[in-house]
Amino acid sequence: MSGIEYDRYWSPVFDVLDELVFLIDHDFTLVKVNKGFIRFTGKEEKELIGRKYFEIIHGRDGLAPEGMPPAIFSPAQPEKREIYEPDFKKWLWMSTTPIFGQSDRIVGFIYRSNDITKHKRVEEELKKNKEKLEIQIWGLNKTNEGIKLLYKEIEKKNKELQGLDQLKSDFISTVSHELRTPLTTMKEFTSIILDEIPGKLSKEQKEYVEIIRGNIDRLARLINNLLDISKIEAGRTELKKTLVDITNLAESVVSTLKPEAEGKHIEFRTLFPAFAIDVYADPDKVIQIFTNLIGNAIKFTQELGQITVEIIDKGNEIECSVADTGRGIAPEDMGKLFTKFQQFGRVAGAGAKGTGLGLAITKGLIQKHNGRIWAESKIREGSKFIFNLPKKTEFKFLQEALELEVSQEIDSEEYCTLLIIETLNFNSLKQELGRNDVMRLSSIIRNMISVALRKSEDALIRIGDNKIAVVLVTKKIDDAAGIIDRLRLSLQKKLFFKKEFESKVEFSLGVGTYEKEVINIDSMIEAAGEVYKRLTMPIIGKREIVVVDDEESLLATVKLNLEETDEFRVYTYSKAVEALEGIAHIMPEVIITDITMPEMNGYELIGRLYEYEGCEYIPVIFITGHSFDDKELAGLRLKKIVKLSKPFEIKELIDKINLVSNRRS
Amino acid sequence: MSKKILVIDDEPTILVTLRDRLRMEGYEVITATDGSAAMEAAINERPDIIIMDIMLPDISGYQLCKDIKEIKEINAGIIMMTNKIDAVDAVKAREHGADDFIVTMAGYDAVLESIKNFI
Amino acid sequence: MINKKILIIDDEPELVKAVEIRLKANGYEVEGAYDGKAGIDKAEKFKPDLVLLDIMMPGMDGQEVLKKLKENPETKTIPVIMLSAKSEAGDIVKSLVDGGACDYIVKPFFDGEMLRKLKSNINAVEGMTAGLLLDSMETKVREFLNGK
Repeated sequence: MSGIEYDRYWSPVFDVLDELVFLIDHDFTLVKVNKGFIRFTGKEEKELIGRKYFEIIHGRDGLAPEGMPPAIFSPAQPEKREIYEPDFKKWLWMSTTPIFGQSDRIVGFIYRSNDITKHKRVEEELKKNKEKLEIQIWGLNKTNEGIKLLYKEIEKKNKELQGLDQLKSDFISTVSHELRTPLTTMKEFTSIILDEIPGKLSKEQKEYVEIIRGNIDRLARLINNLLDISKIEAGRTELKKTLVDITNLAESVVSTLKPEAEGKHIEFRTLFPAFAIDVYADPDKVIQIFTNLIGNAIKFTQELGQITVEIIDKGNEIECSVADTGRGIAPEDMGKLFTKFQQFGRVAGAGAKGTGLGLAITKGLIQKHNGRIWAESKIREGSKFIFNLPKKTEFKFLQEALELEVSQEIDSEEYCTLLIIETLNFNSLKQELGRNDVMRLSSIIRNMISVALRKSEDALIRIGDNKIAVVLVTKKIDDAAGIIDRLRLSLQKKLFFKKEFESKVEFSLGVGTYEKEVINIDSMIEAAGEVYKRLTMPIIGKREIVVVDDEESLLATVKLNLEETDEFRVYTYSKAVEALEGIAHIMPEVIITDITMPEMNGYELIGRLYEYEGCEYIPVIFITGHSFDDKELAGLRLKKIVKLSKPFEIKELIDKINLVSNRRS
Repeated sequence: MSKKILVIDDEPTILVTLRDRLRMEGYEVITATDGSAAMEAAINERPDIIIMDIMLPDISGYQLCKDIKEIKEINAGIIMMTNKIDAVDAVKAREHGADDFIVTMAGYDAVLESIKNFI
Repeated sequence: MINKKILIIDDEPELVKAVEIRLKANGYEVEGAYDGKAGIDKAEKFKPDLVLLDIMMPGMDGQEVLKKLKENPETKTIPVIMLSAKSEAGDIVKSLVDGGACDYIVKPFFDGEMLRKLKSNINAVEGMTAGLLLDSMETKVREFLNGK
């Protein structure tokens, strides 16, 4: 490398670098090295100069690594490589640049090198992490595929189950029909023969046909029981829960079965509380339960026995019991008492044979009501069957029913109207018609109402014998009014009673309309509470109406005409601000207000009423000569709002007042 | 030429069902019920595909998978099988060299589909 | 006194025969039909005082027949009692409230029930009689207790 004067520049330039820099001649002998190189190799300069660079750096005695042709290193070109040097346990990045001398001959090379061990480590780490991630992703993908397959399988099974469910349903209805049909025919003909219509029977003939008849009845009972129990087990027993007076139901069953007991000289004792107790239950099923238990008591009690039916109010539940002085149940049989097809102490004789399903059905029904049943007994002394049913207040019941029945899928753009329909003269009707007929009447009413509704989202909830709650879902706030009108008409039109007399049924309609979006069930229930309160308030004195309109002449006309009927007392305001105070004070039955008024318009007025406690639920009739702003109307939540266009007739107004009012009509 | 499949599972019902269904699809099937029999079969029969459960009586399925993969002469695609659905198993299988991973919970039809897709 | 005429529409010919025998023995004049169409024709021609109509029939079912009877000016004033194999409220009440039937009887019939109901309903005006909509308490109890 003579001829090139580099010494002067070498140290100040290359010794300041971290990099390794060294010069070799065409023979690969180290000619010059920098401090970085010395640092890296850990050797002194005099040990390095004159040695072959590949001995020092690569630890080799030749240029190329073993097995690789030297030609691969073409020194005529600059080159960069990354190499791992095992002697130093480090990674080096190396750059070779040839130095050309005279006549383009290579006279040497300059090497630059960087210790990239750390980099390499990081690179390795990253690579490892990437691999790990890839494995994880692969694993997750495979798991995903597995889940998808599983999902498909579940869907398939679901469809199968649904199919089975449908099969069960179909089976139950088919069996019901198919089994009963021939039974009916058989029963009719045996009746005809026993009644001697085709001709007189000999004593024996009569006896034998009676046996046939008895067995037909037995078959009929068995079919009924089997169907009952299979419905309960298939979860198909629909309970029509409502508030029922359980004492009443028990009494009816007792009086129906009394003659039978008297036939055996068995005495009935009833211990019922003095006040009616409302229980949350399906009345038909309660009758079935009492019938089974009292029937059993009669069956298993000998002559001159006593049966006691007791009902105790235990706060949040009712406890009922049927005790007899009969043969009792053996201790070993107690465990199997409520199981299917178990019969105990068979009493010989036709007609007394049971199917062994009665108690199982009874237990199933009680459990469906979230109640419990159990028995106590002593052989030869008698048995006592006890069951309980949960109690609920009417309002709590409505609350739960609303939660259950009001569809959660109602569009937020729709309105919910809650109606409470009450038969007012229920008690006097009960006296006139008798309990049975009045119950039937309730059913007729209920079904008329359900027919008037006809929309799947509407809900009908029976709150008691004489009260029904209805939730209507409509797209426009006024549509509910239309339905209610229709309801009124049909309730008034359709009832015919026994020919001997005609009774009129008086109804009261409590109504509240709400925007579904704002409504959560809680607020609706709260509002229902308000409606309730108002329903139970009797009308004292005149009905108070507030009218707000900036047109003084309209105020005067309306006041005059309404008060002329002697039914109303009207308070008028020409300014909305004054009306606010007035309304808070008077708490009228209905507010009639114009929309366009200076200072505060009708919408604002009603909106402001929220600030006054108790005023949120007062029904409102908006009147205007212009069109209505549905958006504004919608913005007023929890209000019963009805629109009336000017000009209007007083009759129209009175109709609207009655329609919208919470009070009894 | 039909593919040769080695199925390894210690549950006889699974083993037999899989074997029969794969045979119906036209594959040649050999079976083994534990690790050592499986290794032997793998070496002697040189299957194209090996399907193995992750749990075997004498050795972990993962370990077996790894061992087989180390023997270069047995050049088989390995599918690991399990009854649970857990990503951890799948990851472990991959770490041990498995080529695919299937879940038997969804039923045999699904398993067959997966195997066919892999092949 | 002219005998009252009863038309029974039911797809079970033997049952129709049994009812005929029973009713004739009690002084009624009886005609039977085994399907909806025949039933409607007979109703027009025979002009019964009351129709007993089975709910479950193949082809035109009881509710359809009821509808047609009530739409037809010739037959719309005739009281109709529905016959059904199951006493569950649902369909039955719908046919009563909606369709205009007067009453219903469940199969198998209870002793004397048919005669009682015939008597009550035969003079009924269009619409329902509240007196006989659902089974009376007593009937219900009997049904649960035994098939008497």
